[in-house]
Amino acid sequence: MEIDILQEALNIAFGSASAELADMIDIFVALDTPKAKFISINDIEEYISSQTGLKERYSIVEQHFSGEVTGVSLLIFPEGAGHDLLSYFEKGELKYPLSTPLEGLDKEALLEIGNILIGACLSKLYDLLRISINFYPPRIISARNFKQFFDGESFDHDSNVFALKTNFKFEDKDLSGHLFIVTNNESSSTLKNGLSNFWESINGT
Amino acid sequence: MIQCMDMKILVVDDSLAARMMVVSLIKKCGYNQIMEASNGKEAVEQFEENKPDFTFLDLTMPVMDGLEALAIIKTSTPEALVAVLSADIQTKTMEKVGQLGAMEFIKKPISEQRLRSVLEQAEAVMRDQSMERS
Repeated sequence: MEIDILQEALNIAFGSASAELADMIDIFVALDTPKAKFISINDIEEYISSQTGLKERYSIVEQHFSGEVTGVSLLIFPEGAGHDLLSYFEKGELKYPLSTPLEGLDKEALLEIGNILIGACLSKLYDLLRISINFYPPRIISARNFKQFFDGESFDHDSNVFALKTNFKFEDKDLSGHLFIVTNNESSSTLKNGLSNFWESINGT
Repeated sequence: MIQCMDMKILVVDDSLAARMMVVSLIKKCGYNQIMEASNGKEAVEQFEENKPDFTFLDLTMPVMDGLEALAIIKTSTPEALVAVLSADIQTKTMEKVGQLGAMEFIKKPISEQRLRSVLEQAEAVMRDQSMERS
């Protein structure tokens, strides 16, 4: 039942995030209906890899968050996405020199767009659940080893985590990728309370 | 009388891309006295040293975040004009920003139209402040 309620919250939150992003100049992002799953931390690497495709190179924006829930967001783009996203920052007379992948302004563009997309999705979701979080600055991860994303400080070994997954597409750039939001086991009770509050609010109880 | 195109503007963001975009838009609006900082600590230092007339302030930054920088700036200079520009669009965040005395909360990314409107609003406030002092 909780998964069903969460699914409903996700539909609303991510729909709202999409609309929010569409209101912003030049960022038309389509977000798929997100899927939620409880999974062992030991299986998270395989889960994310299977969803994104091991054979494909990728660029990843990682952003941790804490507060009433603790976790990490992973925004997974195909390699070279930074080049494509630079145009969102080409305002007025500003011109960017070409650069190699993940270097210079490609990386900066990826980070900032990642920050905006993650910020919109998480803000809308946790607002709906009346949960407050603090964002840490995002960073680029280009390594293939997912284990480094789930460090011991935030995620206990052998614990269960809560994984949300959606696909996104920048419609004006034919650029798509994946967004994962993983919260740790300790956040479960807060999430459950949030879902309960959300359910009451939409049922008028 | 303040020459508003002489307005000194501080842009604070750890993202180089975001700073470059905002700076570019500010220059398009005709302002050329622009300073930059990449975290809250640098923002506070710049503020104390250069006394900008207006500040665009990101929230999620390393070393010192924007909320802490905003609190310090507004404590030392209550009349400081600061607009927060952030991807963190949680309701509670926007409320905190308002409580700390920011003039505006702007969701990233800012448009040219919005930036122009905010700066015009700042100019009007500065004119009022100048008249009150004279």
